[in-house]
Amino acid sequence: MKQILLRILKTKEIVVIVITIIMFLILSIGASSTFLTIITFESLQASIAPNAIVAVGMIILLISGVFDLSVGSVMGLSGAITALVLSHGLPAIPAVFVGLGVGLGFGFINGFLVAFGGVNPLIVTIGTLYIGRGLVNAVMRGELRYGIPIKNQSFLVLGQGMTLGIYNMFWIMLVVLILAQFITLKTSRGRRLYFIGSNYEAARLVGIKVKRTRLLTFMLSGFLAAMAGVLATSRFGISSLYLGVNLELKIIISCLLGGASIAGGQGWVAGSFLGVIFLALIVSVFNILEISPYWQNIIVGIILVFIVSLDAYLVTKRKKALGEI
Amino acid sequence: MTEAGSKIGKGLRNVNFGQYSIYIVTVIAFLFLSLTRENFFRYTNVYSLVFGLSMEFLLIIGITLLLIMGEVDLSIGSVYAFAGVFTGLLVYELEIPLIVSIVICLTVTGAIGFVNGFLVVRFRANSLMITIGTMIFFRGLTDVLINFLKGITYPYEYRAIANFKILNVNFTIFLMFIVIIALEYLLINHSSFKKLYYIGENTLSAKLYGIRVDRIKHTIFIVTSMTAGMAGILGASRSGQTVWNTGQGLEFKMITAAILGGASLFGGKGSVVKSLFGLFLLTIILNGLIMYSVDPVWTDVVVGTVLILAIVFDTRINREKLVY
Amino acid sequence: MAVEEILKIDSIAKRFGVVEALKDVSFSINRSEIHTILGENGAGKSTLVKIIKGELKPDRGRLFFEGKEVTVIDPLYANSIGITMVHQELTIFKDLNVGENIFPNNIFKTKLGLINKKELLEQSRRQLALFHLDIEPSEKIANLSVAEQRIVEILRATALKRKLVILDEPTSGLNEIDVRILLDLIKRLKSEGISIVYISHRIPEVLEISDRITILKDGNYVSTVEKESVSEADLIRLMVGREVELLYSKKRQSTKIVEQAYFEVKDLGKENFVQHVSFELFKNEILGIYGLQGSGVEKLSQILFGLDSYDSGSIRIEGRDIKKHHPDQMMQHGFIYLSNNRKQAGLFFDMSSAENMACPVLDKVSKNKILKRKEIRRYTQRFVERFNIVIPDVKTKPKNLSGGNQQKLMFSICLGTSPRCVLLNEPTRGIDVGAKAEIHKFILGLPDEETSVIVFSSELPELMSLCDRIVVMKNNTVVEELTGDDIEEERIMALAAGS
Repeated sequence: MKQILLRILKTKEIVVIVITIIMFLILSIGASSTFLTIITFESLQASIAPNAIVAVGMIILLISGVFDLSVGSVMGLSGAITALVLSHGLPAIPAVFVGLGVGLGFGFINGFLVAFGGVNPLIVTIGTLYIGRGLVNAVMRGELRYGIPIKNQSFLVLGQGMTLGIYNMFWIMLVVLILAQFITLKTSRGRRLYFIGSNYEAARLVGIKVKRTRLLTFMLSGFLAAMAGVLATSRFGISSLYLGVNLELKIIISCLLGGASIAGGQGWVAGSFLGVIFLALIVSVFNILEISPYWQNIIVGIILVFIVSLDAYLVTKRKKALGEI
Repeated sequence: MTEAGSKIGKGLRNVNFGQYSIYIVTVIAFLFLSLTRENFFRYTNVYSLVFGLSMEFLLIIGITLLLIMGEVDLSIGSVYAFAGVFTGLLVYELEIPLIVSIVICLTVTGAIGFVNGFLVVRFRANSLMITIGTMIFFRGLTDVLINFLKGITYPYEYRAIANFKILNVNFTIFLMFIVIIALEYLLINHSSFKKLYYIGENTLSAKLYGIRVDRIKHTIFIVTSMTAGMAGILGASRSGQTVWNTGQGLEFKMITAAILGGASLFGGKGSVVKSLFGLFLLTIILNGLIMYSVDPVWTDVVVGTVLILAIVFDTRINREKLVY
Repeated sequence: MAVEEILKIDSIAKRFGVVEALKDVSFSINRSEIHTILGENGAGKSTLVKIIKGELKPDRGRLFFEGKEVTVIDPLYANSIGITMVHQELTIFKDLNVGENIFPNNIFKTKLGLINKKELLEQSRRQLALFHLDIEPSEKIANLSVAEQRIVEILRATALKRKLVILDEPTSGLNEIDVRILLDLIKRLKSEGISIVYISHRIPEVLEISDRITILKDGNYVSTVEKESVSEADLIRLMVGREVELLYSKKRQSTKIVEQAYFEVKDLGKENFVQHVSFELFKNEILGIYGLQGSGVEKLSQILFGLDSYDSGSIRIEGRDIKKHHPDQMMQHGFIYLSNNRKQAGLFFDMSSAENMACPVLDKVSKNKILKRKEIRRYTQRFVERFNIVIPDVKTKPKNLSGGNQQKLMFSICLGTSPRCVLLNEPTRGIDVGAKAEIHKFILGLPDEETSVIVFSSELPELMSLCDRIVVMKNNTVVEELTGDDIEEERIMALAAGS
């Protein structure tokens, strides 16, 4: 037991864990009446769940050495399209499938171009980000600008319903998290992601189907982003033009905080969850302190720059020690 | 697919396709629209296209120079927006004379470039990710300023800059031709500019042979931010008032344009004349969409698609052994 | 005991444009033998090995593996039938531990089909023990030394039950102790039944470890010999085809000591890399710096040229302390640096040779900062002729030249700066005997042109034949300086590797 504790203390995530605990304590002691109310806990659940789901997709990509900047747009688009088809009378379950299908489609395009076209994932996913955002605007044109309202009750249950006092979407998130963590830790299929992220070519030569895995992980990321979009839209009961805007960077920050590295081969699913909580707590703090969203953006920008610099610094340091630089 | 893909890549390389294709394609696009849409080939329309180009050419310079070295700066759109608003703020709110305001603003943008360069060069951080961070930061800051100014119209002298004409032609158009041609000459023939290509082709070798890579990269980052600032001032001057989301997506438009013009994300290639033509082509395409009455919401989709196509070709032709 | 062939190479031919890299090569490799392929650059070794490995397809001829004809379409296929290659550049999984690097396909599963970590570590331990290696399988591979990492990668071949392992210069860059460990490992691999194709330029090593040696020359098969029946001189003759006066016998000039050293290093230190390094370089002499891997030689060369910084000590040129310390400043003092890895640094592979030459001397070939193309062409042509660089046109890019010519081009780029002092790193690494001799001749001629030389090399015979004095490094510091008759192989080795 002591061994495990010692190992945990040595990881770089320990800083984040400690800060999170500190924040939690400060908030609960300092602003007890506002913070520890059930309402805030509920809204925390609802804002964490979709993000955490997207983060699972992102960290899987980061572990294998790439990332996806289109997740925000996919989230928004799948929400919008699901709302659209629902408003045209499609029943809940097929509508959900349509929404998820959007995510799979985008994931396929991204994955195909990166895995089989060898194209830079950053730029490809920025391209799909644009296409996705543009499509959201195209879908929600004219009066639909303000949102497509949803009346289908069985659909709304997904996002607004609770089971045993906890939001359904939170349960879904937990399932996704646990499955993903388990698979990446304990199964050889999951573990392969680390091999690919560590050394793509070597992984290929030992027989790992790298291209296929790449394609599938991008599709998974799109799928999960779509899932988050469907759930968030269900929760609000209406589609929104702004769903998922600038989300991808917040998710990447969460994953980096959780131990991932842009260089690949590192990080774990639970770490991404930790990062999402961390970020959600910071946003809560901002909201309690009534900091405007513009300033929030500024701070997000600063954090991103800081984290990426730190990550780069650590990678460079390691390379220097290995004599690669 | 990759077998066929790399064969196509090899074939394209051999044909030396990249050299003149951008000129050809742009001319074809221009002719196509001139012949099929009568509204295209009018003086007012073509002039406004060229004028718009002359507002943005400063941005393409920085991006091209960075790409030649194998770097990129995604914050130029935000710096563009920021500079316009910031100068407006100085002139309107703080009543600082226009010239001084411009100088202050450009100094600030220089500082932004300094920070970008510092982080990328010192920490060998991925320039894409770092500049995305700067981009968000300045996007946020710009929004704060716009909010603060509460939607004003800029003072007359500020608005007059963009409208300054010589012989009834906006001065920026002359500026564009002169600067681009001069820069192109320098890139091809001047020893200091040649260094950019060496850096992009093999940074380690460049360092070895005495090229001060860090210093040069740093300088170009500063130049890029400053030219983005200049373009932003011109752009704000033209629009005349604070506008939300100004400059949004400009960075990707510029990267697409540069790559269409033959620059590569992998460094070692680039030409400002061809980048300008790439920008012109994009402008023609977007104008063509309007001519064909396509809803403006599709603009983003089109830019995104062209970007992806351009990148796919760039990778096919120029990637050596990079695999993702 | 019947000796069976594991790989039969039958009339293989390969042509690249006008160049015939392989012309009708046939020989065979036996099971469980260590078979070396020897030859100059351009002899066809690397082409042949690439064909076996599946990176290239032959124009004509066939390969038979274990008696059956095979068409190796790509390295993955080669791996699947049991052929693997361990390169000089490692392909380890840097973020994972040793066990996972040995068994990367995660074949140890529990009853439920999940990863069985305990079994993985156990089996890894067994493999490591089999080869008498003292490495802990749960250790992160990033924490191991380069030699240990190479060992782990070789073990991967055994763990994955490969039958034929091609080793490409496995001992390059290693110190004597690690070379020993590696050679022992390879011998044990053989006793485990694995067949080994060995590629190396180090003739003494080849003679020690091989069972049989096949020599290729100019794309032709020359012969296959038994180790016992050849000498070093025999091998060189077979490779080059003429009596070459053994490279490694030189008449050493007596040191001409001038009043003041040209280049003086005193008590130089950089934490974790070098400490208390002091030596002097006199005008027009050739100084050698020798050390095994990990002794600090490579880092020292980088520090001296300003590619890296130092924490303590001083560097003086002609008595004056130099404060500012970047490559461009060192170049202003008349220094130039030849990189030890031309694939990574030193050349611009996708630019013309003329542009390559122009890089460090841009001001020399420009007027008012404007480049003069004719001047650059002329400048390049001068060196092409002086160094016999085989090149169709100055516009040709280095990527289209052979290794030896690339090295000569790199030399030209450096010497074109009219340096007063050259820092040469592994000046003949990875090139054929012929080009090697040419380059040694150039280096020996440098003092006559008022140029001082420091050679950093891990090839002791090379240093012994070039240098007037040799500085030996061990454990990041200078151990001793040898001159004149003191310079002999055993003495140096004792200093560099002994207690």
